[in-house]
Parts: sequence; structure tokens; C-alpha cells
Amino acid sequence: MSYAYLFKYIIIGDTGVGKSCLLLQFTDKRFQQVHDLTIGVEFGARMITIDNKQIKLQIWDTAGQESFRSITRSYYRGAAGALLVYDITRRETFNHLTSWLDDARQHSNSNMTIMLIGNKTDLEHRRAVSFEEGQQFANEHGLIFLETSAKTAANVEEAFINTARRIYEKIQQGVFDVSNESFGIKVGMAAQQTGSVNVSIQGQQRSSSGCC
Amino acid sequence: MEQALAKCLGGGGEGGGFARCLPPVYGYLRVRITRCANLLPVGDDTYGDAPSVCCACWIAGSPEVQQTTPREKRDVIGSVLWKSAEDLWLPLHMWPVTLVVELRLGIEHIAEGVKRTSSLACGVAHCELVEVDTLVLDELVGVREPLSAVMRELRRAELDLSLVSTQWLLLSFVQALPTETALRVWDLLFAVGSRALIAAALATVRLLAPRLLGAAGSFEGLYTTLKQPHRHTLDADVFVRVLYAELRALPETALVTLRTRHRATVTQRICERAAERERYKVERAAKAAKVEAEAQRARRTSRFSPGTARLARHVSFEATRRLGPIRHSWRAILGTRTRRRSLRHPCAACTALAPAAPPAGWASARATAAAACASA
Repeated sequence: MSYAYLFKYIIIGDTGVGKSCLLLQFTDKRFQQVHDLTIGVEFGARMITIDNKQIKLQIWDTAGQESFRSITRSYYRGAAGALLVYDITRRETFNHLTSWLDDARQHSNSNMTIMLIGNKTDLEHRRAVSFEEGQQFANEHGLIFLETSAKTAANVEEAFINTARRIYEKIQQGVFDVSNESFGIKVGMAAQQTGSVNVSIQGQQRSSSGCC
Repeated sequence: MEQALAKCLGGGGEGGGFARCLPPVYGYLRVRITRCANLLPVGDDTYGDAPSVCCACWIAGSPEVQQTTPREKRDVIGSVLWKSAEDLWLPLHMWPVTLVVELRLGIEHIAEGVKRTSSLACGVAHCELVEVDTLVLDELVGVREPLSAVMRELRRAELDLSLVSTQWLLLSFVQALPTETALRVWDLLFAVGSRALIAAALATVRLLAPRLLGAAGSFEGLYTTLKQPHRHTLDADVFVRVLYAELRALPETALVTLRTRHRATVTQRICERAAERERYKVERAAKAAKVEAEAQRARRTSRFSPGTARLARHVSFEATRRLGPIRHSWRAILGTRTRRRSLRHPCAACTALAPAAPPAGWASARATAAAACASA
């Protein structure tokens, strides 16, 4: 199927925060209860529509274990968007965000859009990190913020689509050189056929907070 | 299950090492390994009071190894299985434990055990060595015919073979191949070492080649084919035959040479990343220092001293709270009247700041204003 743009994403965060479940929910619309460890990197793809344009998301789901960092770091470079995930029921996963963010900023291009995601909101009774803390962290570091549940699918679509929307806005603003694929963006046949890529965004939704 | 496993493990050919050494009742066998040859610590007391039998050495069946004590056996696992410590990149401690202990439970448990062990116990060094072998595999696929056409197709689709080969090598084809085929690969792994894994990866790509070349350069198509090779590798005998051919074409010396060359590449890459990290840290520190310096400069160039500014803020707050903003500004100008009718203002700071007398010219201004008001 032809697409106007292809965006490459990377999902990062501590082990067990639900990165693979988020991807599975987004691509297959299902939830896997059993925790199956990711070894190295897994891949998923889905087509979305923004401003009547078909946009393909190629998503790299990385292993959270420290030992795999040497492998996963090489995937930051060609990514246009990153989903930085923590588990709202485990404080330590929130505390490690700075380290992940440093890694992402260091190895990626400077215009990469980063979405901070507090996952597992279905486990509200075990919450260890408040919404406000997540929001504050996002504001301080210039990230978009959302809380999601891969189990109930709450906000999962929004997480991926809002990130894509932000990348799309940046393309319209001329932040990215779309001919340079190192930014994690590829122009598809559909965009080339229209002859123009500078189309205004209409009816777009703003994400709940933050900017980057 | 046991019969099926015994059949596939004892499938004959060159790779009968593991099958030959299996004890008659292997289900009860428990293993406790405290460390392997490269001194990686692994869990010790997982299996309680089980006898400390070094399964790997048992598998090797070497007479000199059989005569050693359990502790010595643990220390020589690497040399028995992998010929040299340098070649030891697999988290080999997981094999005896997961394979033999969980053999009775079924492949899915073995797979889970292997994955968990490799994820939790596998060190950074292991991953780097796997990275070396993925590069070796890339090179071999790139130069061997007709695999080079596959490599060209992968490059055209911008699919890095390491995306899948990392898992193949790290997990020794657990879940990547059908059960029987995977067990035959493991059999060879124990017999000839990690060279068998490279050969198995080459065999997999070779068997998948027609399908990969027919994927028309689609990233998803190529990825899915590589991730799900089960249909093309279901016949274990065919797979092992192809694997042997690859194994023969890849002598140990050639593999060592390739690994040496690519290890240098990986080491360089790691050094570059480390240097980049340092550079990033320095840049970040410089940026933070700049922000702090600007803040300090702003504080220094302020018109008022911090004490006066604090006092002024306090007065403003108090006045707003008690009198309202507009009335307060007038009363602050009027001075004496404000003080006289200060409504018993308790704040000494406000009193101190208020002017002692009305400003000069106030009386005439007031008269002018009153006249204007009356005429209006």
C-alpha cells in the first residue's frame, strides 16, 4: 500500500514497562498477559492517517535490559520519533528516565520527537508515580506526555498518532529535510505524486501538554 | 515427547554428541554451575541440594574431563565446548540447566528458560561478541552465492540482517526454527561449538533465499520471512544437510580470522560511542554552566539588592491584601494620611517604607483637581 510518508519510531524504557505490549496493542489490537522478554530488537508496522494522508509507522521495539543497550543504541540514529515508556506502578522505572533520555538525545538526531508515556494506568490502585510528576518531567525536558494502558488500550492510539502528528507538523514547518533519510522520515510515492509536501494541517488535535 | 526427542537428537550424522551422552533418565538430572570458563557468575542455589554435575562436560564425554572433580569440571566447560576462551561468547551456562532440566517440560519452557537466562544473566560482553558474529554473518552472506543476491535485496529494503540474526545467535535458534530442527542445531552446537550457529544461520538464509528474493524488496515481507522460517526448515534432515555444507565451507581458522577482523570494527564502534558519550556529557555540562552564569549575571545586574526586592514584594503583597491595589498606590503616595488611617497596619515594614510627608506640589495639584471636578 502506498504512503505519503514513512516515520521510524523507537520504543525505549526499562524492562517490563510494557513496550512490547504497547506495540502489540497498536499494531494487532490485542494484549498479551504473559511477559515475553524482548531479545535485541523487534519490529512492527502500521498505517495511520493524518490530514488525509497515509502515513506508515515503522516501529522498533527495543529490549530494556542493560546488557542489550549496545545493540539497541544503533537503532536510535535513524528514528524520527521515540516513545519513552515508564511503568506508573514502579518508581524505579520513572527514576531511570533521565538515563534513557540522555541515551536518546545523545544517539539520535536533535529533532527527534519524544513522547513520554506512563504505562499501566489500569493498575491505578498500585500507582507509584503521579500524573503530575510525569507531566512535570515532560515539561522540564520538552517532551509530550500521556498516560496509557496497553491492557485496556487507553490512549495507546493517541500516543503513536500524536507523535506522528508532531513529526508531520515539523515537516510542514521545514524542520526536517525529508530528502535526508537519516532523520527517520521517508517520502512515499503518494506524496511524490501530489507534487507538494507543504500542505496545511487541518482539524488537528493538540496533545494534552508539553511540546518539543 | 522423550521418544521424539531421543529420535531427533540421535538422528545420526556428524552431530550425535549430545544424544550419545544423554543419561538413561535425564529428566531428573539437576545441574549446578557456579561459573563458566570466562568467570561469569551465574545463579548457584537454584537447584537446591541437587548433585553438582557438570552437564556440559558430561556431554563432551571426554575421559580426562570425566575424571575431574565437579569444581574442576565447572572451570573447563568453556574449553571443552568452545575450544578456547576467546570463542566463548554464548551464555553457555544456560544450556545445561535449561536444556537438560527442562527437556521433559517441552520446548516452550526451554525457550522461556533460555530467554530469561540470556536476558538476565547475559553480560554486556556477550552482546558485543554476538555483534561481532552478526557482522561475520553479514560478510559471509554477502560473498557466498547465491546468498549475495539476498544480501543485495536486504540492503535495498534497508533491512539490517542483524535485526533477526542477533536473536538467532543469542538464543541459538530457540523459537526461530521448528523444535526438531532447533534440537539438531543444538546437538551440533555441543559437538563443534559456536561455528555451528553461524552455519545454521547461513543454512537458514540459503533455504529462505527463493522466498526472500521473491519478496520484491518489501521491508515487511523480508522481515516476516526471516522471522518465520518454519515452513522452509521443517524437514530437519534437509536443514542439517545444508548446514553441514555450510559448516564444511567455513573452517575454524577462517571463522577466527573473520571474527578477529570484525572484533576490531566492533571495538572501534564501542570506543566511538564512548567518546561520543563523553563529548555529550561535556557539552551538557557546558550548557548547564552557561545557564547558571547567565542567572548569576542577572542577579548581579538587578537594580535592587535581594533584601530590598524581598521587602518590596512583601509590602506590595500586604498592601494588596488589605487595601486593594489602586487605593494602596494612592495611599502610598499620600503618605501621612495613609499612616494616620492605616487601619492599625501591623506590618512595620510597610510603615517604614511609606513616605513621611506628601510629595512636593501635592497641595496645588489637589486644588487643581478639586476645581476641575467642581466645574465638571
